[in-house]
Amino acid sequence: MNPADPTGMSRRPSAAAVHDHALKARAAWLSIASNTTLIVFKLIVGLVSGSISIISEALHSSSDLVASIIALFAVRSASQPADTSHHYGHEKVENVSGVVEGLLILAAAVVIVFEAVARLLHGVDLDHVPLAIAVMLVSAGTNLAVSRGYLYPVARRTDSAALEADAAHLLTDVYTSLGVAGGLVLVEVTGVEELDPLVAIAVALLITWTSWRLVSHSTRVLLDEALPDDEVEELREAVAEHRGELIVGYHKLRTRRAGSKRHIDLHITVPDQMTIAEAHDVAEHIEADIVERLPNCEVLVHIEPSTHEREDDS
Amino acid sequence: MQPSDGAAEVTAESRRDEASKVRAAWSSVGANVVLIAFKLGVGTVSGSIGIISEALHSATDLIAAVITLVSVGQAARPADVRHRYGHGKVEDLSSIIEGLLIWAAAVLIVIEAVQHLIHGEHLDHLPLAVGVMVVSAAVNLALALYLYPVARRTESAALRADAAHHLTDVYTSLGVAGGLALVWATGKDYFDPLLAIGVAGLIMWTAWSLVSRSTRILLDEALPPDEVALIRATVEEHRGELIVGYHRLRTRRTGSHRQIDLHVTVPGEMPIGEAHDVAEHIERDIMARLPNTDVLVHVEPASHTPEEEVGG
Repeated sequence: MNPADPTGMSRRPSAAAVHDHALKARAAWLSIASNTTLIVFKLIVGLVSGSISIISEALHSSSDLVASIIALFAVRSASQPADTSHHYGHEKVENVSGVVEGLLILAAAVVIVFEAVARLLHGVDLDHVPLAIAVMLVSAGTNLAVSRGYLYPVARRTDSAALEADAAHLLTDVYTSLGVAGGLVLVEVTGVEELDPLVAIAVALLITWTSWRLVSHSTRVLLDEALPDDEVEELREAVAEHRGELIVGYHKLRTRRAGSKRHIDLHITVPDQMTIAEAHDVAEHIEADIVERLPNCEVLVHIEPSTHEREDDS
Repeated sequence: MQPSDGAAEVTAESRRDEASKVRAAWSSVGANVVLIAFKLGVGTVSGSIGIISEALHSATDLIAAVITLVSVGQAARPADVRHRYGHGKVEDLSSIIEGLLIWAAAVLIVIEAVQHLIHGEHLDHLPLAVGVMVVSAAVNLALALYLYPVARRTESAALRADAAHHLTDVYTSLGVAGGLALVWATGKDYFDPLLAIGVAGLIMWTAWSLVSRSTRILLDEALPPDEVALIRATVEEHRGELIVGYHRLRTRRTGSHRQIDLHVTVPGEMPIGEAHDVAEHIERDIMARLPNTDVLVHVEPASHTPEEEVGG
């Protein structure tokens, strides 16, 4: 061992972890690429047709590009191994990025409401309605495909908060695009121009909900909330299996999450006559069992003799 | 027993700390209420729109003070089933929100100042407004001087942020008063908005330092190098005596608490009872040198060579 080792802790990432990082980075890049394509597409259609609304829609999309760049930055930073400044790793960057994405969606919702209210008050100046509807539909289709078809599955598989937030962001774009298209169609059919801003306000409320969900979910992780009940149950089972056999008991089980990683520590009690070498084998066995049941886990076991008077149990 | 097991022992000292934190947060709320009432009173009696709008400004300070009070109370709750490592990080979150509120105030100040520069300003009751600002600055300064030491002693991120917030109010009040005094003395209206923009830049810096500092804690940044060195020195003392060595020292902060864990190695044939005494000894030594610390030690036989030690 080498105490001068600045970190002394960077466990070499497993092949699975390296694979996950590559997968996450690829997904984030795809989101950047699709957003860039959509912006260029909207700009070109807008400029060729001379439609101000389509051009402004392109500007709207640039906030999506910002969001996907944040997601890429987050998944890349999160994959950095633990170092002297971050002994527990960098995974929580993903959760901060989740909060930022949520706030960006909220900002978009606020802008939509302001625009809609302005249109309600001053009337709407619509141009190139059929073309605008078509552009919205293409945009919605692309975002839906990228979000549901690629980002969400990768986010779920890699437990990535940043990708999940980006996927949610793209999905809110699907809602807004469909909302705008639906509003325009309604205006076309009924001739009632107020319907467009009213639909926009409804969509804004819908995406505010997404924003709240992202912010609250990520904030809870940043505040070191415990793992969900079913995972804690799984852990307790993995440890309790060895009760009476390898261990006398366990207590002080603590759990938290950082990005896609779970941090767990607990105290186990073993028979007093055991040597530390034997007891450590038991601890490693339990760590291995936990990691096998719950992926992306870092476990720390504190070993105590069973006669040790302890303040609590669970 | 109840699963409040993650809880660190609640010592008499930490209870005293909690009490002084809550008292400090309440005095901030109280002082802001008094200031708002004072400004509203003077503004209404004199009919000065400027002073009344200053009272509205103070309302954001009241919101910040209430957030501080709530988060100090939340952070004091012991670890429970939902939060095994305690609730300390609520304080860091509160500090970020304070930072964002200060930043929002700075943006508003700049917008108002630019409007004043462009459209000119309608100033009323100048001497009275200057007097109100000076009183407000004095109250905020007194609060900041009271809050900072409490924040430092209890290592409270929420109180430190609130203290910083009050200090930004001192700057803005003095900035406004100075601007008004200059306008009064020179008759040149543009001094007021220019000074306001300068002050806005200053408090944006405060906002940035609060947000960045607390975000780093939420990201589980390691303790500062001097504290890590202190921990290393404490553990090193036992090398060759109680322990063979140590590795994988990890540190982070949650609110006013430090969270530390490390692996120590002992001779493989040592009985577990003895090894555990060694672990507890080291935990106690670290906690004696660094207050508000939770330590968890993982003991290993010296013969065990985990892969991360190879090549260190």
